[in-house]
Amino acid sequence: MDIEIRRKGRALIVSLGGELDLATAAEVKERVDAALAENSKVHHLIWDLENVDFIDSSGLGVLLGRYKQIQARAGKVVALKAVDPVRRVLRMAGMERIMQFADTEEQALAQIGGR
Amino acid sequence: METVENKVVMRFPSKAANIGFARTAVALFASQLEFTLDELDEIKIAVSEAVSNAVIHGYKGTEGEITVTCRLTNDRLEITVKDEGRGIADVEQALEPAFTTEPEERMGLGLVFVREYMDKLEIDSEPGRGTSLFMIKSPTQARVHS
Repeated sequence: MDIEIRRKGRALIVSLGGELDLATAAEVKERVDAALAENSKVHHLIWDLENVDFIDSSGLGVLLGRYKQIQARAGKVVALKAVDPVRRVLRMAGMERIMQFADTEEQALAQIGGR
Repeated sequence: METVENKVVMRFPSKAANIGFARTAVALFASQLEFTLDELDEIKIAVSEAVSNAVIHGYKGTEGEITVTCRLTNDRLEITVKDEGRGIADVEQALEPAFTTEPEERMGLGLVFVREYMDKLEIDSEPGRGTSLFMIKSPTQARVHS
């Protein structure tokens, strides 16, 4: 799975590419957890899902686990540019209750209250 | 209406790396019927969850074999995902949303997704003797390629 992580202000932006399932979940967890541990000033997490074409409950578990960490930092989580099949799964799992959806990075940054 | 009958059997080790192969292969097989793209996505998720369930819960830390059998008739797809692992003690409980025996970041939605996305789900399981998930799905249009 392609994983690219960068920081923008108080937000960590994680861009994923490929299929997020049991086979790839551990690597994503490890990389994002390490980035969160290194960046104590990060409060918010933006998942750029534009290039994720599949997600199942193992992938949802990754998002949920990171949400708990961000919640502990009183931050927000945004799903950015999720394609329709992925967005459907996120909504069906009720993830809109714990994360917002955005179509552009600017919109995502605005949703977390600026940079 | 022409009758289509076809069958494929796949047997592979319970490695997470094989989950993507299984769901993609089943979706390709399913495309012989007139499923919509959304329906093919639903089949992929159901297979992914069923095979993941065998890897995570069926064999839990050990390695065994998973058998996926797909059968097409003129208007429906039947899928069986079978493992010979630990089995499920309480099937009804396993179907409850948010039920999971894995404390770490499992949402307990795997079998819920399968039930939601397929027309029918039957689970045959016995502790110590493995689990078999039998699923059926028909295309909304219920028409067959000529």
